[in-house]
Amino acid sequence: MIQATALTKRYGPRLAVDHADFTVAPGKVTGFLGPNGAGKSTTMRMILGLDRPSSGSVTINGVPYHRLAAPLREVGALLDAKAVHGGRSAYNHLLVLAKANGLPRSRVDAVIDLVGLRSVAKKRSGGFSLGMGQRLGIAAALLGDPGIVMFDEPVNGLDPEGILWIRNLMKALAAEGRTVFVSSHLMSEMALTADHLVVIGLGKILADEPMADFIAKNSVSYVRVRSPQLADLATKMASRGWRVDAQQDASVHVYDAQPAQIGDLAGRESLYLHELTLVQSSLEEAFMRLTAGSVEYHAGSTDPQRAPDGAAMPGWGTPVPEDFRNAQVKEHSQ
Amino acid sequence: MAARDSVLTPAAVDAAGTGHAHFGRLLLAEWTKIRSVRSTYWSLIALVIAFLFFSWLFPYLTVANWKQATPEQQANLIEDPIGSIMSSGLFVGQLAVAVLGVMVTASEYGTGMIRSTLLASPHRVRMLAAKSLVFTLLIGAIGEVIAFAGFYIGRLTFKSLLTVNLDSSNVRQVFGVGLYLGMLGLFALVIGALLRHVAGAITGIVALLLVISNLIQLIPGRVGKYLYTYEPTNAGFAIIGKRLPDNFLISSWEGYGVFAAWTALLWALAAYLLVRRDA
Amino acid sequence: MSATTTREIRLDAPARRITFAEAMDSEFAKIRSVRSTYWTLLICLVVSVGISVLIAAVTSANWDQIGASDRATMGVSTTVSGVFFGVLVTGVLGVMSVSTEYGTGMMRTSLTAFPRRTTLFLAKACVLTIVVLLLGIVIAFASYGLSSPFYTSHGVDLSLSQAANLRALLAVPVYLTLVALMGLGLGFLMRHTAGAISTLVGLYFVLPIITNFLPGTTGKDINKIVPSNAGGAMMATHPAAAGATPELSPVGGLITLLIWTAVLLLPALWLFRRRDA
Repeated sequence: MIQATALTKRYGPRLAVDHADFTVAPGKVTGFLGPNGAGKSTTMRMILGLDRPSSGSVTINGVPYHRLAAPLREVGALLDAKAVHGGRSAYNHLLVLAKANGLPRSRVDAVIDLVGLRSVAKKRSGGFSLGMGQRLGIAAALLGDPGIVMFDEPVNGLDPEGILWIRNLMKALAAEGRTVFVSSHLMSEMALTADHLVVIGLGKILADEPMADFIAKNSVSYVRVRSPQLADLATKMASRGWRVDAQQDASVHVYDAQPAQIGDLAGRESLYLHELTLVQSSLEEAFMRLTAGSVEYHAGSTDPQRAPDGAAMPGWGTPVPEDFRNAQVKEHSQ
Repeated sequence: MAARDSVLTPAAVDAAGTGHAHFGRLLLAEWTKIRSVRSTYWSLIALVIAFLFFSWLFPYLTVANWKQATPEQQANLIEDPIGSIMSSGLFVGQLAVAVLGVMVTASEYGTGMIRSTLLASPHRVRMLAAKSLVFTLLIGAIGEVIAFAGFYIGRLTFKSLLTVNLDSSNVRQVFGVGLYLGMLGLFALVIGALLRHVAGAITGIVALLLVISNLIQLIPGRVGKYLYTYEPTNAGFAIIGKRLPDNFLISSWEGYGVFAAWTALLWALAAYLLVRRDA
Repeated sequence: MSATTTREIRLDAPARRITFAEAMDSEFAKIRSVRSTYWTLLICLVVSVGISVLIAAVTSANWDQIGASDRATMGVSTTVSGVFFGVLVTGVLGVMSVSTEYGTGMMRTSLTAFPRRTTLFLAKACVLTIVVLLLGIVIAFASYGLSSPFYTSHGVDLSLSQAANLRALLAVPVYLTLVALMGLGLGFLMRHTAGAISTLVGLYFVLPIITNFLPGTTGKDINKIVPSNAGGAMMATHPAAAGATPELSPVGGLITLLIWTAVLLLPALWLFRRRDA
């Protein structure tokens, strides 16, 4: 169990983490989601006592990290796969950590086998690929058989096989009753693994809820309608209490109604329909909508105003006008 | 594909021209790298402050203690006032240049920056040439500026005791500061490229400058004199000397030539290894 | 790789509270498992002993040209003169034991495994002390053993049955260790290899050049307490000759060097506790 209370980190005038309150509970995978620079890594470093909170606190099973009797027995963390002395072999790197917590040598061998690094265990870790480095970091995290595991962007640099492996590993760890806290900037990745979601943007916690609730709350769908008698049809739909947004391309977006209902209405009123499309936003878009305006780094060259129609995504969280944002939504034709 | 379809704005593409890495562009890239790291500023500030401080300190102490000085010391000073202004500042300031020169190459290996550098300019020898040229010119120029600034500080400090004028017999000593520092910077840069390890290269060059260059004269006989004379930094340091030590076998310019030859030899080795070794 | 469960590798032993012993164990494992340690120790040994012997051989060969006053100042410290340069290498070892952890990011991993920073700091300092102390003893006796015949053949009394001579020889490992600890302090303060090594070189080789020029008795007093002169004083067996630069007493040198070490280590510890890793 990880508990953050009004956790705050200030770098000069900038609030990297702003009064964050959240709880990470055992037995499930909790996703920690936010754009790059939102404060995910800073939060994780504060949980591990690497960075000192400016105010507020965060505890592991009720105590600050540095008071844990044997930290690796309670928390395993993969923060930065490259946080390894490149001149030391993988085996010796793990041995150094095992000794720091009084763990037996046999544990080192056990985790090396678990992550599949046996063949390169005696090689200098400086020559490791990103994927091998990531595995070494995961081995270090699992060294103490901890009740809590934290992974910061674990799938970065892994091949598809490795990504699948780590997804299954996280689920298995949670199924064993462990607390699994994993950060990512990819909603699609979270959707596949997380049971619970903590969303952070510009240091503020924007959501802390079960994945299902997040999806229900944040996914938006509407029906795109085109008709030669669009004005007439729009009036009829609006009179039913449905929200109708006129678009510049001679179509309307209709909310709160299913395509069948709209088709039926058009039939009854003897109006022609040229298009009737259910458009559903993905979780990625729900996440982008939620974190809009709370993104640190904008992609400068991909100016949404200049991007060719529909091809490029707008810069993350660029506060685009409502209708523009809807126009970018991925389409699922019915 | 038309430029319009690219996420790169047309302006950026135009500016990039043919994409061929011209040497001028390499120089600009290396200049940008040197100018954008903090260690450059630290080292250069240390160099300037140390050099100018010693240019004042030694003449000041000489003037203050003139009456206690032995006739021999007084004669030495009158014969070579510029040496006493420049040499202690140069002895200390050269360490900053040596450290910075090593950092310019070796730190790229420590950070992994070298791989980005070689991607941007795959012609490795040209990259090393650009780095060398930019750094040597930078240090040489700063060296000349502080040499003349130090000279005027020293001259002002000596005023009550003796007049120091630049003439054909001693202008080499002042110009020599920039020449020596520029060559030493290049020498250190090459050592960094050869050893590719910041701590090792710094320790090595500091040991060469402070330890080996002096210890070598302990070796007796003609061999010792040869080793002392042809040790690269001793040979180079002769460019600022007026009366060279008895065990120094060649002239000031010949000494500088020896230093340059050492540097060129090691540069060629570094270029060869840069091409041969994996980054 | 195929294993997607960790069940078969569960650890059933109860967690023991981590102590200084675990930190020491871990730090020993660290220093043992990188090649640069062995290189540095080897270079230190070769430089210290080699230069000591070289100077002894050259001095012996040119004995006739050495003046009586210079002969009079010869003692145990002359047989270990290479140590003056060996300290640079142990200082670099001290710097690197910290700065490479920061340079590679290993420090974050270390602190995750052992978050009690004061204990970790002390363990690091203790391991470095033990390693350098042992190396220093080897250097002291090897240098003495190989170079003393060159001097004793000319009648210099270097017998270790004299308390002063033995004390001077035992000062060698202490001197090397204190400089290594100063390097460690600089590593923690600056967290940057090149910066910390440059500062160490400045303290050791540049500072004495400056203070040597200082006029008056205050200048001489300041010159006595710079690290290299204080370290030299620890190994001295004769008072400085009349015309030569005055030195501290051996105990005074030790105390001065201890103060230098504390001046670097205490702020280093304070900052290490406070700073974000």
